[in-house]
Amino acid sequence: MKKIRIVAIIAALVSFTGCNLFLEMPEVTGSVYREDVFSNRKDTEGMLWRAYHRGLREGLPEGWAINHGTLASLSGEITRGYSWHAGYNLVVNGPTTVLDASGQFQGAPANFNENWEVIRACWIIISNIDSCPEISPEMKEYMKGEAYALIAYRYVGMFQRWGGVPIVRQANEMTDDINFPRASAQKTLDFALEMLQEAENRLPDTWTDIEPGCGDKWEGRITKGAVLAMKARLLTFAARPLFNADQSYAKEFGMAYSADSLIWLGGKDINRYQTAIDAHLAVINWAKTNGKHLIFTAGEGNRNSFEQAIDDYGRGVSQLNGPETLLAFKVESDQQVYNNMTEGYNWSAYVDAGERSLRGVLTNFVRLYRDSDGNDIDWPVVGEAAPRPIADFAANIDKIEPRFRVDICVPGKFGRSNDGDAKWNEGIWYMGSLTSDADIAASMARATEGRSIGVPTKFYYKAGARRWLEFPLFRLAENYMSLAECYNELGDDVNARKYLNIIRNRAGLPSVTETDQAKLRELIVRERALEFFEENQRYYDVKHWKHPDIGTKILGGPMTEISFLTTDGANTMAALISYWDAYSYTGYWHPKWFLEPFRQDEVNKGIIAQNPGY
Amino acid sequence: MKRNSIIAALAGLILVSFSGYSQDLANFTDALEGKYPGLIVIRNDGTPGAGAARMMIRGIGSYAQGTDINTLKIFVDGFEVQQDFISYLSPEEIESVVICKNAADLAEYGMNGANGVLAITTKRGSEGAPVITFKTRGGAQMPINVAKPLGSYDYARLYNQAWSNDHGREWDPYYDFEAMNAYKAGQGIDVNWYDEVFKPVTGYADGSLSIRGGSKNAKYSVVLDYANQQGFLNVRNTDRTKNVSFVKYGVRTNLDMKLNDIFTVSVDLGGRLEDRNRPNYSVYQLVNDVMSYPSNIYPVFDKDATDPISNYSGTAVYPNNPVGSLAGQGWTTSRTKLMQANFKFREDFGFLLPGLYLQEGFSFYSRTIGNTAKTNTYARYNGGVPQTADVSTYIRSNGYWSSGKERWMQGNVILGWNGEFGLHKIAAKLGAHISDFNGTGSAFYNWKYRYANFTAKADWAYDNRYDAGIGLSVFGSDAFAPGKQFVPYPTISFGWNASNEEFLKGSPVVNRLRVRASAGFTGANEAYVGIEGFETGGRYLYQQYYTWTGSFVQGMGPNFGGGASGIRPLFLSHPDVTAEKSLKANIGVETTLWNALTVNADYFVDYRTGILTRDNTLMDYNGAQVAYTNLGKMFNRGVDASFVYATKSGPVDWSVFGNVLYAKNKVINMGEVATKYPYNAVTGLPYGTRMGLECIGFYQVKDFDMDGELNMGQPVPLYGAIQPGDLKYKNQDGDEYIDDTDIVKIGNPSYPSLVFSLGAEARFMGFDLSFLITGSAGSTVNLLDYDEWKPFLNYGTAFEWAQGAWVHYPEAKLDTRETATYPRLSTGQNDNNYRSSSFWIKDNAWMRLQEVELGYTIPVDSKVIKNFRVCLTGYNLITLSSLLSKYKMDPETVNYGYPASKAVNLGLQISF
Repeated sequence: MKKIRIVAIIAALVSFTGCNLFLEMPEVTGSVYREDVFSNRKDTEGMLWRAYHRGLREGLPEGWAINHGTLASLSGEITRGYSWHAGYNLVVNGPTTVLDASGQFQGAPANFNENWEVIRACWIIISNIDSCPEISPEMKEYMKGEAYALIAYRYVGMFQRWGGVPIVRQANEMTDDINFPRASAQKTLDFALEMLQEAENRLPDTWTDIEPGCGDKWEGRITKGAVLAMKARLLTFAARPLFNADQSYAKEFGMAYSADSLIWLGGKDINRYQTAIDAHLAVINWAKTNGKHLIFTAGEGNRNSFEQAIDDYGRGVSQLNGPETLLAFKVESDQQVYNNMTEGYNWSAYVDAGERSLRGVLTNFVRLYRDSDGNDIDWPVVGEAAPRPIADFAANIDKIEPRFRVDICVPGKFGRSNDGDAKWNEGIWYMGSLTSDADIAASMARATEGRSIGVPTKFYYKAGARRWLEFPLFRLAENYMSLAECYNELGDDVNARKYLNIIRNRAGLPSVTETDQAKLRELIVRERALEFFEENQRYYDVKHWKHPDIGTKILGGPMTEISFLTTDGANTMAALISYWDAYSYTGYWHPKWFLEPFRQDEVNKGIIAQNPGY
Repeated sequence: MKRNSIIAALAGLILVSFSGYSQDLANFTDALEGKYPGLIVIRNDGTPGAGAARMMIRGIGSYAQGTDINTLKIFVDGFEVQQDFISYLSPEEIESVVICKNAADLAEYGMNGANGVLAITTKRGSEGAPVITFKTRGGAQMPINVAKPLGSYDYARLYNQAWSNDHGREWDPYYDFEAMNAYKAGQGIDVNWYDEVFKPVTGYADGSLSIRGGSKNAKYSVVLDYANQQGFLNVRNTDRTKNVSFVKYGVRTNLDMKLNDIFTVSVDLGGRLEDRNRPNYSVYQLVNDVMSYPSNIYPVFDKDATDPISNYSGTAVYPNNPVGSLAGQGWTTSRTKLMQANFKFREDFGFLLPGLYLQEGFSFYSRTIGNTAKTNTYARYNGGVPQTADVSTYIRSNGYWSSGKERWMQGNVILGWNGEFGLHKIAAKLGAHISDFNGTGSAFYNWKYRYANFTAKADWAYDNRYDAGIGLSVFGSDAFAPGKQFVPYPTISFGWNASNEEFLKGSPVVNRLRVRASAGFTGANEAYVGIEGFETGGRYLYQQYYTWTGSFVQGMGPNFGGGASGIRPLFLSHPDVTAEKSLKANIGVETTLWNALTVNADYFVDYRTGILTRDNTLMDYNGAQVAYTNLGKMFNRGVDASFVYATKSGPVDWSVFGNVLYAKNKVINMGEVATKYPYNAVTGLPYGTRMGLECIGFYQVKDFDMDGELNMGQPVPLYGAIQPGDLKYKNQDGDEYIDDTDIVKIGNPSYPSLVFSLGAEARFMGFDLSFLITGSAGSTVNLLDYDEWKPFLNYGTAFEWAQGAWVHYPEAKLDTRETATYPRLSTGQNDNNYRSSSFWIKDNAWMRLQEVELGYTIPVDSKVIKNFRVCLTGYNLITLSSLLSKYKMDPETVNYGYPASKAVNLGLQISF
């Protein structure tokens, strides 16, 4: 009997089955498994929301390398910010590849590795969502479509910044072959198009009432229209001269580089413009049947009045889920206002002054605005004998075009973004580079860096106390402007003028009649700068156009700011005395910056090639 | 009492056991220092009750747990325990301590064995009349290392330099002439916070009572013990205030009952209560305040305050008046309850087969901590005006809370047989050990740990000349994926007793000579380095986890489907993750010569593979921030040895003894991304080698042009603005910049490569005298780890070394350009200077008189009293260390916090 007991004990202990049960992973706290995530709808959606959040914020002051800054501070639109801002450093030193003293990477306007968490999450969603029992088959297809769209959106962004990048077709595991080099620019382009096609095949035209009772709570998720817009943007960048040229920019600017296919599409093909045109027309056609349109009260062929232009443009860039917006970055809620997005864009007195960065509008950019009749405006320049009387300033502001008045709030005249709301007008006490010191005015030195002629108020048209914003990522105006650009490059000046004039007329400006391709190109480039002020477009546009002034007036070169002499520091018309333009700083430019660098510690791993010049 | 002073023991170990008080104060782990070859013990600071020493066996074989964690495993009577359990064992409980370090010693430990095992056996009763021993001692403790901040005059003098340096390098004193004169004359505020908070001497007492004995069928051993260690805080133990202190009450009962010819039952109960008192303010933080609050901030009490309860000074910048923290806000106490209860059953099956037995054991271990407090708050005044929101309150009792609850169940079964055939002897056994640990659950994954270990071992000996053994552990851990949980660990060993061969038998010189060797595998399944953020301890990395993140708002309303949170994957899982593997081999010799000198020595190697490591080569585009794989490799090798020379000179019995360990490791692969230059890399160097810039002096005025810019042609440091007096670094690569590509090896790791001890004892006419010296070498200290070396930073104060700062203000007659020993002062962070460089790395080699004891056994002619001895003991009385003499740091505790202590005690031992 005893022996039997003993044998039984040994048997129980040694039994492998028993032991596997004993060693089965014990309870853990604070996290979930993949099976858990895809066992219920809430967690599965959580994966997707995270991918949205991380994927759409690229280029915004929300945590990617240019934290605290916006791309507008690099591309000569607004000032460079405080000295500890990443953007400031870039403006001074240009992009670098190494980590800073605190171990952060702020050497480039974007952090390459940030893209990939999104892409990985999307692939996990695509390959696992089918196992989620709480989501309908239709919704699963939609969500896969969103995941494909987010992958594509990141590839579009990376194509613009880096050229060819590695092509990742799944969530790689450690057991997979996980070391592979960059693909060529052409293959990257093809892959992005493939992803866009996958998304287009699955996504709905609208999220309203997509499920019974959901109403409009999911407005803002990616639609088929947003994917068409991504495709159109991608193809436009593929057609532009940086990639679509007889030789790579490395060769053109004399940088030794052996992997041209990574940064260049292999030759110039004018037909790429036609492909882009088709894609943009597809967006506009989709919009027509899906309730999206350019907000244009007077209508095509007519010119908006000044007030119509203020309202149409203001709503076009600011209205939540507006008809003109195809996709926006919507991060804000009332609980989340104290973040970099608010600091970066909201200058009203509704936000504590302490949160604001130095982001006045550079005179370099102000000069692009015309008066409402389309004529250039005579602004002060550095080197004039004396400050100009403030009446000159008042006259300029009184005649300047509507978009300026919506986008920029200036001392004395304030802005038109929130009429009658003091917190958006005279209440912005730090607006303008003001000084009460007559000696400063006499020397025509800059009063305060970063305050300049005034502060941006874009995206907050009639926002009132709402501190958050919906940053438009794709807006129909882009398709019109790109059509104008592409038609002009193909030599079709009729269509080029047609689309250019729609945007101009909507903005209250008269039509242009220019027929010369080069001159028309200049008009289109200038128009695009104004229409997309602060919308993270110019930084890419001027590089992919290889804009001749990029190193002397836009990214690089001397930047100037308007300063004002005032009594008692007040910003009212009665207090202002005179104004002048003053040198502020010189921006960095080198042709290597046509594309951005990869982090050195990533290149050191020996798998991917660095871009030229770094 | 017979002084069982030296035991030459098991498997090449020499255990030096002092008179029973083989530890200076209450801490048992400290007492292990210097006594066992192969064991490195580095003491913690002297805070009573906080003294868990860092222990390493044969140095560092794996970087998986860094340099600061006790990686060895601890077993008491065959069952694993936490280090907390042994930290305050009584020496009266201990029968033996064995350091398992060779493959042969570790054959049955499997995945617990890679970093060595400390195996403790407790004392049991033996047949005979009861032996009752009572011991007590008491004495005084004094601090070893005292570093006091500068007084107000010197503080202000240096602050003026720092201020001027930060404000355009023009002499611009912050404290004007009058203020300086007042400080000099002793008229300004000048509070020595150190002396206010610390006292130079404090008390210690302990005692124990042990009773042992038994009959043929029942044996017992009972130990009661008590210790009371007071701290150095300058505050009395009252109803409202408490010094930091540690009090323990221990009890152990080991019973063996032979039920019949077959069954024996053993019950071991070892338990302890530990009470820790302190002021109601973290002692760590209090010491930090003392070391950082300048002398001139305010007087201790604000005489203008009219508060009826208290009138402590305080400001918003310096809110925690150290005296207020000490005596002004009550006290807290925590009680730790520890217990190990072991039950063993042994069945002798000699009637079936001589030597056959079966043994089953069960161990229950528990540790819980409960806390109570009496607290109040006090208002902070300056000039009679409250400076913070705090108000003064009366003291009140403040509830109960728990801060720990651990449970550990273990069971084992052993089937063994010991047999002899002629000249052959065989010992064989099969074993199984299962373990279930249930922790506090404060981190993600260290909630439960389980393992199962199946062992087989057979040893064979022939004619006392040759022997060999094989061992196998098949060890399963719950940390790994199903199917990857069990790992086999085989070992082999050989021995040759040359002294039993004909050619040596009876030799007058060589009394004993044994050569032995072993080789085998062990493992480890814990890893922390690089994984800290996930709190997995290296566990469950095969499983893909997801975690919640902040919510994302989308759509018309403020919420996207109602407050949706994001989810994202944690680390990138790897299904093949398994335990780190150690291949150990050793060859050793044991010999006794001239019947007096015994030497034991081992050469060992330890080759680690599969160290769980963050794969730094993972490309970003895989989209996972981190992944861990078994890619790490290290190699550790060295020598440990011990000797005893014991003899008699006339009426004097005397002996000398000592041991030494030298261990040096090398990182072969730790997933390091190729560095720009070979000299930037840590791979190939000992783990933890200090890396940094090579300092080549101070920038001088002539290095700069009129605008304060570095002269052309000098490499530009990329670590912030510099000025004369800042540290100048060597530009290793000769490019235009001083940057991270100029980083080189600048010093040894923080742990020693050489530890040694040397002791002696002598007995004569009832007197006995003994001492033990310990020491170590091959480690370094980085002074930058201590804010005491960053004067004025974060409103801090300054220490004497700041007086050597580089300064050049001819107008104030200040010029140390030629003699400076410290860079120019700054009132804030200095990114160029406060950066790992050879300037801050200091070698740490030291030795100390760890124990010295003078005893006298009083001849008592009594049938009742068997032994009566008095002794005077001293601990850590002399320390030779450049770190201590130059930088006021104890070489073992290496900090400026609570001091390490030395002690003198008077003891009494009586046996009945």
